[in-house]
Amino acid sequence: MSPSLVRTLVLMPVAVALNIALGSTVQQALRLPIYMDSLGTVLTGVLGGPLAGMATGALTNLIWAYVLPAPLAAPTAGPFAITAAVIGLLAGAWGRLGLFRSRPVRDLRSLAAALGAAVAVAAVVAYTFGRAYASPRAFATNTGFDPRAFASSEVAFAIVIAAFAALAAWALFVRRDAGAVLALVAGLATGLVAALVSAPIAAFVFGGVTGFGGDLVIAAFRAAGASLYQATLEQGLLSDPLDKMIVCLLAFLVLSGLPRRVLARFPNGERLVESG
Amino acid sequence: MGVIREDGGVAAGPALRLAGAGGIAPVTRLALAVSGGGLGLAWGGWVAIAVAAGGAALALALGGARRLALAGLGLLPVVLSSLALNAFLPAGGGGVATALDALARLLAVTLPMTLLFAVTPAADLLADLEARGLDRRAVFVLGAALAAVPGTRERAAGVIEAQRARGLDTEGSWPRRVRGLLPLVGPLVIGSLIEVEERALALEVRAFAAPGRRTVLRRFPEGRWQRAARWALVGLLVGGVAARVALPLAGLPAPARVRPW
Repeated sequence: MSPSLVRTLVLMPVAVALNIALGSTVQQALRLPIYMDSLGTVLTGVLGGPLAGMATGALTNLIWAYVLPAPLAAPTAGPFAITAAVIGLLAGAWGRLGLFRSRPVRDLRSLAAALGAAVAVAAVVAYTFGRAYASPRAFATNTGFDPRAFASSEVAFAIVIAAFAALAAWALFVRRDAGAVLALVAGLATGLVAALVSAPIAAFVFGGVTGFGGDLVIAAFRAAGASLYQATLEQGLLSDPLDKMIVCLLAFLVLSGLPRRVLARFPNGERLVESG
Repeated sequence: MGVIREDGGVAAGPALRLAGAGGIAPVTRLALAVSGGGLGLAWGGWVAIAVAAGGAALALALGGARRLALAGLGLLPVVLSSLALNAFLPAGGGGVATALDALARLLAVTLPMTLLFAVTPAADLLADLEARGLDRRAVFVLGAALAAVPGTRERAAGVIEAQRARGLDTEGSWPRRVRGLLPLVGPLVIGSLIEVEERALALEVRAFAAPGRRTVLRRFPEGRWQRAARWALVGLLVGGVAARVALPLAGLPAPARVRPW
């Protein structure tokens, strides 16, 4: 067993505990509409690889739901272990691609990579907007959703895009780190996939209910005319990208603040410290 | 009984004796809880209610009723939320039947697993799994995660209090609260990651990376009927889930939902 594997094995339980502590204590202290329960999973995936991330995500939800006693337990978290595993898997893939490496904007290649990623996101946004949000009829035809949910869906879409633009601008002009933009893009993609995986679980297993603040958003979408599945999907498409963008940005900031010698001892550490 | 040490290992203890459930190996109980929860989740409706009722009856018999009742109370927000979403909002179908079905599934998944850990210490389950061949790395990760949760929550609460004492605004407008994320998360996460290094070194000097299997000294109840019961439970779970998946594929109607009338 290599020393880096031992570190990954030690990191996994620490990350599980971090997920649960952040998802309960810190989330409750700040009362923000984000979950905060996947930061440890993302860190493990980025540092230890996709398998470690996947196992950490799944274990977090299973332990949180079934092993911890009340009032620490979160019974609805169990079936979402699948989503948590997918988040860990994706984080491992982003780590392998080196998306969480700090890249000062003065390096032209890094700046070009960040701008390229931002342009790619803008192109996807423009395409989605043109196809789905041109009119209520286009929305109903291209998404299969009830046209009555057009306005609320458009607002949710705008909030996610505005949050991405604001955070990317902060990363480029305040933080002056092109790597943070790539981490944000990774978070946005992870959030979209997480929403797609979570929606059927929330709708068909729990009747659209999770017992968290997201239920209010689902209720708002339902009141606006969306069906149960549409409402859970739209809630996920609003909450998950916001949550994962913030989590990935936090993971990036934490990793960029760690000593290089600590990072280099993990299996994916070299992809976080090699010079740009 | 065994206990989980701070390093995630399982301390040796005397032979397993459990009030009311003596003679049933932890891994057999795990098979029972997983198969019951899996079937209840897959089928919902009356199957889920039967599983939940079975779990409650077993809890009364085995002495885990208090923890089960607490777990049931923990589901109260979900129940209220489900009723509000499905019964009181007009759009998208749902209704009381959807809310009850969701509640039944949730109880079916939650109660057997809660009961399992109410009457079986996690350390015993891990030791039994290791004795039956589970990789010690997996045993370590599970045990260490369980041991780390209370300490990390305490540390998180300590960081929150310390940052509040330094003037961090956790009650103000949401932009102010967003700005509070990094001061709360940063010290907790960085401290934990630095600690990983120390723990890894401590494990390495204790030959954690040494090849070969550990010798498990503890012995758990086992017999031919327990082996047969475990295989039967696994077969029931696989067959039940496969049948539930096959229903819509074969064009057959879904199982009846629970209706309050």
